[in-house]
Amino acid sequence: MAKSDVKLIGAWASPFVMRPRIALNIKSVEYEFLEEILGSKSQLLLESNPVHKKIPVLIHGGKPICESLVIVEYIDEVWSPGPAILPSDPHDRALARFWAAYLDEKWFPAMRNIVTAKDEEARKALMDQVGEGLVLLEGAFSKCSKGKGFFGGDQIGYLDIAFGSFLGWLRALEKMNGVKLMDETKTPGLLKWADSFSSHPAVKDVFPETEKLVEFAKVLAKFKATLPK
Amino acid sequence: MEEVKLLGARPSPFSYRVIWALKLKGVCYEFVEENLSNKSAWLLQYNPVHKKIPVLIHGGKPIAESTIILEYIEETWPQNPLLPEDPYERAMARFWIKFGEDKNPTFFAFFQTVGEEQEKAAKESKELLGIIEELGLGDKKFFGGDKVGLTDVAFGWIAGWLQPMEEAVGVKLLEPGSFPRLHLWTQNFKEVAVIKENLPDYDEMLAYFKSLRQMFMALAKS
Repeated sequence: MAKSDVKLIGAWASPFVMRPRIALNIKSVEYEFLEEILGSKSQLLLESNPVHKKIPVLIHGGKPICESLVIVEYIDEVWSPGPAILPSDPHDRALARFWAAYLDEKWFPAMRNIVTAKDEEARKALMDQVGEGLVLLEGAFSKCSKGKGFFGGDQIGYLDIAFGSFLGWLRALEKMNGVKLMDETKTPGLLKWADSFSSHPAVKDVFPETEKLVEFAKVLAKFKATLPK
Repeated sequence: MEEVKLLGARPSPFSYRVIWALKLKGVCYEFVEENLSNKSAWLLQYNPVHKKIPVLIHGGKPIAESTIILEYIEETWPQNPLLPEDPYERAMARFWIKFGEDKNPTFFAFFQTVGEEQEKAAKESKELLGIIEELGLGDKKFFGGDKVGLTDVAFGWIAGWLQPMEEAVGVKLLEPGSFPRLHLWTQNFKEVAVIKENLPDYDEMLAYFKSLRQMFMALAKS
């Protein structure tokens, strides 16, 4: 498949953009990465995702697909054979989707809100929520991995991608707040998994450096301060 | 043949999504009615994270979250497919299902708030209906094309629940003149045999929504 047939509109710091990038890497699909600039949205983005005007957007053969996990499922279905991203068993698939939904709807919003928490009490409450969520996810890891290294078993899969894409920001948050949210006592399995995930060949080139994210967080905060309320 | 149980609660539209999908596939199941103000040990055991219905239990294994249950049903019982075969069309179906889920809070706000907040939610809700009609449904008979699919099942609440909600609130959102295609879809959807035979009684729903609305209005005043 020619590289120009597959394009991905995104940005290096976005965890949601990381997801389709990892999926494409797993399938060894070459693609053109179109980087959006903070503060402006390209014409292509506005045309390809008129409903949300958000990244990531995969454009395959001219047709746009939006929503990071919808894109990951699409990639899994189109480029098969190739290492499978979703588990084969329907119940395992449902479990993977369940935890990915939990991450997107409950866990990540709490984590994201830590940065804009109005006071120390609010910040602590959110950090506790994130910590409790990690304990739940440690349980999910035990169940899904079945003793292997990844949620997907021997190979990284859908839930590894869904959760792993947030690791960079989790580490940045830990650094900015001087805390450890993932640790050896409460989440030993996840700690080990995080290392394996971030150094995986399909992941390491798109995994953002913690320092760069910390710097970017400052830029983002300044940018958001300029936006109309 | 492994046992299928559905933990649900009438008149939750989320329960009905699962009922419709199972019946469209001709799958036999046992419905277990949950009392949401007194959740059963089963529900707490099978959905410890959210403690919510619906939960499907197949061969003793639980699946939670209605849209995830829909995908599970589609994958486990391939007869009468409810998702297209083409990956791009499947991605479109999943996009719209997700859109509906993400925008639930706006419709909840329409129902639960009063005054200026409610007017804002009503305005946003109408915009969402417009997007769903124009970009989601388009000129198709169903979201799934010529026949009902998972996206129709996911949006089924608009066909069966929106009207009594509007009546309880006293504000119309889905005006036939403003959203002719979506309005026609609600009629076509309710005519599908499985749906027609599995809709809650209108008067019961109206009474339920009226009492809920009164509760929200009282809360807003306090």
